[in-house]
Amino acid sequence: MIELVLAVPALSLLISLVTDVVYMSYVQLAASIFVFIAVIQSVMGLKSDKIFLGGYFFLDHLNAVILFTVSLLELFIAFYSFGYIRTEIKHGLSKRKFKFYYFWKNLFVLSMMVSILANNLGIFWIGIEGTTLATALLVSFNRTKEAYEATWKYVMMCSVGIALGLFAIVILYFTTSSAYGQSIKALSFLEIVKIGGSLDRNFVLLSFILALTGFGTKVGLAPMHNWLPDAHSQAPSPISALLSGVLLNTALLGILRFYQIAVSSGISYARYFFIGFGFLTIVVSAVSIFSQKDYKRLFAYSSMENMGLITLGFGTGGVAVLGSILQILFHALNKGAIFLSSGNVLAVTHERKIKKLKNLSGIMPVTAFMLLLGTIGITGTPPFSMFLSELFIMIGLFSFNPVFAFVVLFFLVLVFAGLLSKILSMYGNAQDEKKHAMESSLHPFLIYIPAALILVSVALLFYIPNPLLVLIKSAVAELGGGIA
Amino acid sequence: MDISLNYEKLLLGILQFIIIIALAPFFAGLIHKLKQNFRGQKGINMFQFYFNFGKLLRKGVVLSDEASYISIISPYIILSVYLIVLGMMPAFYIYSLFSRLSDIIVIVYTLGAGVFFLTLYSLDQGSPFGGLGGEREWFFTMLSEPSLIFIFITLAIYSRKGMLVSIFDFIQKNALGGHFSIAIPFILLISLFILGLSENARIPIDNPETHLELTMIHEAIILEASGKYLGIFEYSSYIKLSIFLTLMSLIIFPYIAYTPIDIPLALGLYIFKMAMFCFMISIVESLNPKMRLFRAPNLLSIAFIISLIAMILSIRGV
Amino acid sequence: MVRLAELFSVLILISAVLNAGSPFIKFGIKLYSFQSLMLALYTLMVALYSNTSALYLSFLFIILFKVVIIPYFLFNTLKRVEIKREIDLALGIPESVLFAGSLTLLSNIIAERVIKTTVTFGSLIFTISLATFLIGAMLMITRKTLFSQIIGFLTIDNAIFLAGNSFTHGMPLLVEFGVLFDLLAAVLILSLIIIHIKKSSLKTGLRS
Repeated sequence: MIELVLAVPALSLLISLVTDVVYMSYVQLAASIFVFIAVIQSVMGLKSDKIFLGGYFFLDHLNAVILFTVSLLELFIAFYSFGYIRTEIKHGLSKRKFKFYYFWKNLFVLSMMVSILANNLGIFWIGIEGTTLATALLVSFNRTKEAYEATWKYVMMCSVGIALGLFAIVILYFTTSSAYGQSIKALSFLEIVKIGGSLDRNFVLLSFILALTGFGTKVGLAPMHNWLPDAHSQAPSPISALLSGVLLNTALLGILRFYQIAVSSGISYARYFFIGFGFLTIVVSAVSIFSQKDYKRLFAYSSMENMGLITLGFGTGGVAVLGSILQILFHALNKGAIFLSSGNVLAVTHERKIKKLKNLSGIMPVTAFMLLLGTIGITGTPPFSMFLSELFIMIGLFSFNPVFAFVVLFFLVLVFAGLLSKILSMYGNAQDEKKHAMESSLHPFLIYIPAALILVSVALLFYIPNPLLVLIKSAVAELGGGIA
Repeated sequence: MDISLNYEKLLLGILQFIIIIALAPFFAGLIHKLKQNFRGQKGINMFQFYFNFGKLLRKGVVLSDEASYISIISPYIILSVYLIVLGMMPAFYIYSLFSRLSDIIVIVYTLGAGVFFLTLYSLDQGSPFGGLGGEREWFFTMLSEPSLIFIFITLAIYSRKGMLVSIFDFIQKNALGGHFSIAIPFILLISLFILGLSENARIPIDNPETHLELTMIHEAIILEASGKYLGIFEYSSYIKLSIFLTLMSLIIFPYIAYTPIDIPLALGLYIFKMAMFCFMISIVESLNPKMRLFRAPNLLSIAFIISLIAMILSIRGV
Repeated sequence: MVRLAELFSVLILISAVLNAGSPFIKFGIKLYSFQSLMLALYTLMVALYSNTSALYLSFLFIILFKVVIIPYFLFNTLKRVEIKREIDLALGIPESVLFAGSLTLLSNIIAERVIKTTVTFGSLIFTISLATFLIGAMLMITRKTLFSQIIGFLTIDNAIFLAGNSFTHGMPLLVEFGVLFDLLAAVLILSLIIIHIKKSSLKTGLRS
């Protein structure tokens, strides 16, 4: 069953080459639903690691959670794209421009799935590089000056970062090949973890650091984050949602794999790197949010902040690991809602600047409401699920070091203030009534998919289905965290 | 290696010294001839530089009124400096005439003394071009001397010897046994080739064939020289070229004779290697335009870094 | 054979240094091709030395992708955008060459600290690949022309291949092929962006 998760995107990739984009959107809907069901089928009731496709791929609880997140968000995005394409074509964009939209999107999803499920670290690398290449032309979709600049930065920085990641894999392979010889086994994650204790610690540490900085570029950790706001704000909204919501987590999974290897070989202090990078990322994003003029960039920085928080949580250990894993899921849903509704704003007003937008709730009542709810949700305020995950992370942090926790909390409040003050300024009354198109020009899917995402996000605070809870608990156990 | 002298070694050393001095103008002429052939010109006689030298020696000297005794002694000092360095080179026979002197530091600073007197001479005549040429000469020497030192130090570290003669003795013995690194001599050669072009006023850096005040470097220095002194300067420059070519030929493939019987073969190989380098230089000179003065550091910094890499390699004991 | 391998590896580093020392883009691409050829020959030497059949295939792949196809595409793109040399260098040529030299020294120091085990082609190759890596990164940072940035990226990639093929006697073939294919795709997409920028004649902060 799990093989279908890879097979279906590959198939729809091929179909997208030969069909028209309008028909393709139906195929995409079917494919996404199908993938989602396949994921549910194989993830729920997962007892132990499942190895498939000749040992190149495997499914454990950690990547099951991320796989679930990806397929869930992808399902919503498929519906959104369905409406997005119709709306854009109605607004006068030529069909030709969308010719390869589904091709790249499916390639993107496929390579994301490949890297999530990869057991072989080399395959993981290929998948991650594949996501960069597949999204490159999606980021430059608008063909404006900013879009090209963003694409260039994105491809260059991520390629170099991922090259560092390859270096890490090479060094790891060098140490493990002394145990397994020149075979494919020496790159297999499960096999490496088994013999972790006997590896040369110098090399494992070196490869962990290289992987952290390398794949960390793709996650958007602090000193290597420059590309992220540009790329995420320039891509078409459904792609932005995917980039922010799940791609970052996929890259983070790679770092976690290296972390697991480092821990298994007895490097217990590896988690301090997580804490350092996570904290730096939170600080940088909190400070940068105040100087943003573009609302999509604002949310891109918010993604960075959340990734920093997740990394911090993994480093802290204990309850915070549970918080981080929940955060991965909740952040994906919430950020999806935000990017999709800000995509609606962009589609109606064709305006990226915060200052030029006024009276948003007058122009588009539903979307404006959803955008506001999403923004409140992303900062971890109670009625939304991210409250739960951030609460867990904070509890973990307080038991780790109260002073440090207060500092982190201060920056989180800063992010909250920055985000809300910027977003709320778009809701003020307009001095001059500019004629804008109304929300009704949008396809209904565009309006109600973000609402659905918000709804799911709120629902998850009160009720997490039991199988999902079991899955998350086992994933936490795999990372050595626990509920105190 | 035993560098104690006896009559046979001394005699052969003097013979080698005379032969390489006598060959120096030939190689310069060969480069000139090959260059002209590449351009499609008929070209000079390969031995033309000997005739030039002979003719200049017969001519009188005109000195400017400003000239002091520096102008009188400089040509002789420069010639003797280069002669001494050339005399250290074990070009084809291992016991070269000044083999006991041939410490690497001595070589570098003896060459430096040559440049020092050359520039003193250029200032002494009071000509406006002289100072300009001397200034530029120092500019290049300053850039190329570190690389030269690095090259010699690389050789010294690699062979754990300080004397040039012992270094090449070591290299030859190991190279024939196949124990020598290929990488070090190869990249030293690249570096030395660039240095050779710059130190000997060859085309990408300087063009001695023109007398355009904007571009001349070496020519500006000896612009005022005439007659016998000009001849001596020209001959010193041939010898300097010979020094660099000999170094290159020794680094890339040393074949040095230890006994008188091996000398003919070694001499033949020496001339062949030198001719090959002349050929390479003439190709480089034909294909490239002269660089602007301030782009020369680009090339020389590359030579420096390459010799630095060679030094790293030799320290690691590759 | 070890001696020859050493020569080839050193030439990889030297071509990276030369790249730092030249503002000409065509020359840069040629140097990259030369560097890849040296990498291929190095791989061949390691293959002969360790007698690993995977490395012979790796040799062929490198020749095919890095020596022929990628430079061919780059030249093709270059022909379309008609640019000759790097303009407006952020760091002058001698400075960047000297910087490359100090990076080499730095990586020498790091290699001596890190690598204590004796591997065939061990710490020297680590030095060279780390230095080449850093020089590539330097090219990417200091050069503004898009082509030079691509060349910097490709240099980094060559450095990793050098490390991979020497320490580990080659990665598994599937992985190596995937990496090369990804590289090719990256170059294609980047050239596509360059052509797009040129075509639309947008005044971007990037120079084609």
